[in-house]
Amino acid sequence: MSAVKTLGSARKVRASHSLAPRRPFAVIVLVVFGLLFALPLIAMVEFSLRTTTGHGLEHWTGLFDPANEFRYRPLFGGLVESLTLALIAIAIVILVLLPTTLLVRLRFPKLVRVLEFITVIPIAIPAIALVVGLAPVFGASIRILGSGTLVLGLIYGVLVLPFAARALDASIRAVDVPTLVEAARSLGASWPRIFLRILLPVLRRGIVAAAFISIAVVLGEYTIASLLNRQNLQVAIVGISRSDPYVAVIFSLLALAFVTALLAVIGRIATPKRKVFDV
Amino acid sequence: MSDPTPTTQRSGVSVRFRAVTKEYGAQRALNGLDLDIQPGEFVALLGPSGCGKTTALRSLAGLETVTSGELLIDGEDVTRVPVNRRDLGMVFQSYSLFPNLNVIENVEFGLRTRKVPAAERTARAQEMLDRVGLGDFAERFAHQLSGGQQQRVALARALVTRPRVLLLDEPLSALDAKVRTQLRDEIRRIQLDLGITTVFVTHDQEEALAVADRIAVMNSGKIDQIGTPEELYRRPETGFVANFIGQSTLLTALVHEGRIALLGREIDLTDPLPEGALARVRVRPENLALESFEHGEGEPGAVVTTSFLGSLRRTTVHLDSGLSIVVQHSAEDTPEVESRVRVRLLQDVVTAHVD
Repeated sequence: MSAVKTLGSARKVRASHSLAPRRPFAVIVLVVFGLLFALPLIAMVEFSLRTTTGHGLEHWTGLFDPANEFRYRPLFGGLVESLTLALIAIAIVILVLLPTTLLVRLRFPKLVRVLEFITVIPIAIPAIALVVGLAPVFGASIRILGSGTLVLGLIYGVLVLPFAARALDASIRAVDVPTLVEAARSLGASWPRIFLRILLPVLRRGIVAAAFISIAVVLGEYTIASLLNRQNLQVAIVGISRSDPYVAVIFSLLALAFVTALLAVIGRIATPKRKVFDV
Repeated sequence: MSDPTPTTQRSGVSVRFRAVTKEYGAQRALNGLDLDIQPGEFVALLGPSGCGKTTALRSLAGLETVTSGELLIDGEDVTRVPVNRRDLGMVFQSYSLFPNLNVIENVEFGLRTRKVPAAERTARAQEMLDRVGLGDFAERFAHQLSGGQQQRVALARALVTRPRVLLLDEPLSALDAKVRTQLRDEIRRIQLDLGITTVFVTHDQEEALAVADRIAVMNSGKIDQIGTPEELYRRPETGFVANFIGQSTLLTALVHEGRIALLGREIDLTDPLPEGALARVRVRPENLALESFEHGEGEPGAVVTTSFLGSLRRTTVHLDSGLSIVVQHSAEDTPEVESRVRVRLLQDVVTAHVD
C-alpha cells in the first residue's frame, strides 16, 4: 500500500522537474492513441455480434456447433499447426540459442557482438525477401525431413531469434554468469549439473520470456506461411474470411487476446517483485 | 541430528608450481613461476594489478590452462585435471552465491555434487555456517545478506567439502574497511583451526602482512621475493619489493671504507660493498627521528606536510639536499608546516644494494 503511495508521489515530483510532458497533455495523448487502437477492436467485437435481426452471440456459439464442424475444420487445423510451429520455434530457442548464447558469453566473449548482429538479421530482412531465399530451401528440406511443418518450424525458429535473443541476453546480463559457473565448477559440479541446477533456474525469467514472445510471433505470422502454401492460423483465418467473415473476426480477436495475455505475463515475469517495491 | 563423520581436522597438503608459464597471445601473464607451499601454510600472493597473481591462482584452480610447466598438489600432478576434479575450495572477489538457492543450499552444493547423504550434508553445512558466524541465516537468500555476510557464506561453501587447498581470490576487496579487517582475521582463525593449506591473492600489502605465514611478492609473472612478512619488511631483496611493501624513501651514498654517510652519520653495512660503489638504501619512516633544528643532530630540512594517524604522526620533510623524506614520530610532536627541523637515522646498520 505504502509502496503505491510512494510511487505516486515520486511520479508527481518527476513530472514537475523533468522534461516529460505535463499531465494534461500526457492524458490527451494517451486517450487519442488509446482510441486509435481501441476503435478497430471495438468494431471487430461489434461485427462479430451482428446477426440478421440485430445483435447476439450466435456466431460465437456457432463455433462449437457440430453442424459447422466441417466448415471450421481448416481453422482448428491452422490453430494446431501454429501451436506446433510455436513449440518447434521454442525448442530451437532453448536447445540451440540458449546454449550458444551461454557458450559465447563464457568462452568466446569477443564474439558477443557478432552473435548480437546475427540474431538481428531476421528482423532486418523483409519477410518477402526471406521467402524468395527460403522457397528453394523449403522444397529441398521437405524432401529430406519429410515434414513441411517441421521445416516451417525451423524457419520460425530463425524468425524469432531477434526477440528471443534479446530476452535471454537481458537475463544473462543481470547476473554474473561466468563467476557463478566458475564457483559451481570449483565445487565439483559437472556441466549438465551446472546447467540444470544453476543456469536454468537463474535464467528462468529470460527463458520463459523468450518462449512466450516466440509464441506471440509465430501465432501472428502470415506472410511466410502463406507464400510457402502452409495452412497456419493466420492463413486459415484469411481463407475462411471469404466464406464466413464473422468467424474470421472472432478467431482474430481470440488470437489477439491470447497474445496480449502472454505479453502481460512476460511483463509480470520480467519485473522482479522486489524491484517494484524498491522504487 | 547426529553427524556420522565428525569434521576431522585434515592437515594440509603441499602445493607446488614448477616453471609455470601462461601466455595470452603475445602477452605472458606467468613467466616460469616457481613456488613451493608447505602443508598447512597460508601464503599470500601479493603484487600490483597485472603482475600475474590472479592468473597463478586461477591456474592452480584449473580455471586457466597453463601454457607450460607443472602444478602439483600433494605431490600429484594436476596440470591436466579439470576444475571440478581438483578438490579445491575457492572464494571469489565478486559475490558468487547462487541466487536461486538459499544460504544452506549454497553451502550444501559442493556436498551434493559429492553425493554426501542428506542428513550428513545438512549437519556439515550447518556446522560450517556456525563456524563463520551465520548459523541463524540458513534460510536467507543472497540478496538478503550484506557483502561481508555473502563472502562468509562463500567461505563456508568453499570449506564444507574439506578441500585439499583453499584459494582466496581477493575475497575482501569489495568490502568496506572495518568488515575487511574483521573477516580477514576470521579467515586466518578458521584457516589455523582447520590447518588447511591456503593461497590468498591480494594487492593490499597490509592484508598480506597481517595474515600470511609467507608472502610471495609477484612482479611481471614471476616471484620477486618470498618470505615471512618480517623478512620482506626488514630485508627486501629488490627495489620492487622494498617499494611495494611498507613506505620507504630511497637514499644513495658512496661506500667509503665499508661504511656510508647517511643523513649526517656514518653507518655500517650488513653486507659489505666495494669501495666507491654507489649504495642505495631504503629507509622506513619508523627508522627516522625528527629533531629540533637548533639542538638536534641529523640533516636539516623544512616540513612539507604532517598527518595525524591516531597513535602516531607522519611528517614529510624536504631536506636541504633536495630529497623529500617521510618520518614517523610520536603524535605528541606537532611540527608546523615550513618550520625548520632535522632528520636523524635511528639505525646503526643498514642493508644497501648496488645497481
